[in-house]
Amino acid sequence: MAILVNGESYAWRQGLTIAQLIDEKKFSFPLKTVFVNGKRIPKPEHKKTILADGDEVQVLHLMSGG
Amino acid sequence: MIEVSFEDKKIEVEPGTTLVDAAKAAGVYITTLCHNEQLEPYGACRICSVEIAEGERRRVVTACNYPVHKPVTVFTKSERTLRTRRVILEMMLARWPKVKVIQNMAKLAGVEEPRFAHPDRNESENACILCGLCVRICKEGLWHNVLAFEGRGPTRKVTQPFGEISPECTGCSACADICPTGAITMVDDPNHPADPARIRKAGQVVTREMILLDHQQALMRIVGTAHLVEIMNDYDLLPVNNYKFGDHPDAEKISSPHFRKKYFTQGVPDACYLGCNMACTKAVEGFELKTGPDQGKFVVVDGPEYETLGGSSNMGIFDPEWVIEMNYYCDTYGIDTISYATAMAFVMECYEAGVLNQERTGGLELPFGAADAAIEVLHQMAEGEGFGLTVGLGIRRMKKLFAEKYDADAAFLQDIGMEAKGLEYSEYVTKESLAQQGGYGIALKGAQHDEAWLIFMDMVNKQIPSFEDKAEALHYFPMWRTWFGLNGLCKLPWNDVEPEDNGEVDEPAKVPKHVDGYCNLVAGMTGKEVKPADLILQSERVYNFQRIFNLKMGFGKREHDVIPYRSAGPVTEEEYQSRAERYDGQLKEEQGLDPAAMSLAEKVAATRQWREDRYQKLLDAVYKRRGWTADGIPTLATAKRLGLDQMEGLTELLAAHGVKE
Ligand code: FES
Repeated sequence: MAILVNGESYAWRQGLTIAQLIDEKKFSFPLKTVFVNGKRIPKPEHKKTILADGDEVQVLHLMSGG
Repeated sequence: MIEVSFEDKKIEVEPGTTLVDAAKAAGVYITTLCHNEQLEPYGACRICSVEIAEGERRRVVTACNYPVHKPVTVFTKSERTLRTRRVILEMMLARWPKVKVIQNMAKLAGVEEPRFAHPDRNESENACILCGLCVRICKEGLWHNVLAFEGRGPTRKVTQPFGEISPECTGCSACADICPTGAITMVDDPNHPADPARIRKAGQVVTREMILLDHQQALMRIVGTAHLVEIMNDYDLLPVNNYKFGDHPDAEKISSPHFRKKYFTQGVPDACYLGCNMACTKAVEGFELKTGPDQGKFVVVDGPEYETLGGSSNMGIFDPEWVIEMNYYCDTYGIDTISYATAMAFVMECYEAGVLNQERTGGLELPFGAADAAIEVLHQMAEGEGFGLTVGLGIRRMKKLFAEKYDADAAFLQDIGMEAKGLEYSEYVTKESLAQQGGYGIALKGAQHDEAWLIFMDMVNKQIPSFEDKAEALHYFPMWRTWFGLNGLCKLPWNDVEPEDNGEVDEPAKVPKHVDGYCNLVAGMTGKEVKPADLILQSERVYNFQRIFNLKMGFGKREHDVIPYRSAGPVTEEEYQSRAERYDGQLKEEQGLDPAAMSLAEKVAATRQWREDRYQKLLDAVYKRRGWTADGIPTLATAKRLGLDQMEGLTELLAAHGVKE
């Protein structure tokens, strides 16, 4: 019962949404793009998108500079 | 959510949404003229007039500035709506008969010839129709007041102060660009660029992104780089107590929301360059100083920016007013806030470790968090007296001094003294990002992050897992960032605001659309077409030249790319314990060891060995990618490829360091 988040295992539970995941991982940096199994999920859909067991999630932080 | 109904569609919107935005979201078209999504609603032309019904009441309102607060029905095609629009267009057509946009809109609305003559009839095709878009983009978008309306009624016109070209005008052309009639023309740039229009167009892309996207991206216009405090704290990257830790429960006290609410007072930005509408400098006004030569004075303080705030947490100080005071005095004395803070953090750790004591600091107690004593040291540094004289030497010299004078453990001081090539580290914890350890360690002018900031790519996104991937990033980004230095440009507009679709492109970290924009800038200025690879090549020449210069000055080899172990891993047992789960996990997964069977000291040692070894492998990969020898010196072949072999004495210099080909 796990998903992969940026290549690392993360405990999955029924009903877990992208928005919740981002919150729990404390991914607070605003410039980021989320892909689930390679497909880009636009921000307005993060609250509604429920993750399935085994999903591969990539949260790409779009910053390459401080 | 509130329901908005149109003739054949319905939509729910947030309260306060304008009718135009609701219509857009519902896919319903409403004609507008003086409205623009980059600007605040204005309501000058009345073209967007629509009939609405709210409850029993029916009336005509301007859709672009009418906010929805209760359920509303909008009649975009009712007789009353159409009639209102026709009358407005008739008047406009009578006044500006040759203006294309008005002709087109009139035609669409079925207005042919106006039934009356206008006393101020203007026959020009490019007449100003007083929509105010130019005045507003200058004021709201660029934060300038180059353009303004003058006069009322028939004499109303757009002008510059006293009718002359304002010295504040940077020629950004946002006004000409937004003007719907072509009423504004740009005069030539005194720098005589090859293609001014191309330069302006490139600039407009970023200007527009700043207006439309910044408030949902990095908030640079609002709080500047201070927004990074809370973010770095969330990602375990905010230095606390000389980089021992990456977060602190009190970080919130020095976070940007706090500064925004309580301290940042300037409503207007203070840009480095007038044309920059990122204008990320923020300021605190009317601040009463509590210490030092200006004690009791009310002053304006520029900042604080992220590094100054991160430097404060690095000293274990979380008092916003203390940061402002420190910021003021560093600026006034001409002392870099980063070097001061990082040096003080080192001093505080030395104090806690017993290397220093009150006798050695001239009576000052200096554990982490000692705010009063820390500011006293700053004053002493500037005066060149007391213990400030010692701290002013910087970390590299302090390490040597403490080892010689106080018989302190030199190896420990090397581990915790956060400097490379003599420059103090800037304020990021790099333990979990090997690439960034290289970013600091290999950087030509010492441990600063202006060459490369790879922490998110590496540690969070896990985009560059192998040594080769990291080496590629440590080739591309330092070269790219060096290019800004070559051209005297600020790099923030490159990646502190990004195109909306940047997440969808290949290699989003490079912000490819912006890189293309810089190519347009160069081509527009010089008349010579360039590709992104050409820009990198320009940098590579200079970068390698600088490395060779370092070599000549005694700083250009592998031995100079060493980093203090604190930046690569946990030096002390306390540090290891604070993130024990992480380090134990790595012992298991990365090294195949069993942490349960190891003592704490053994775990710290094994972690260290693994991390130090990785850093050496990283250096190997980076040197190879850059065309350098294993000792970190550009090969003769690299020098030739970049045309550097023409430099007098180069072959001899390389040969003297054993590099013959
Ligand atoms: S577009 Fe609404 S008043 Fe001009």
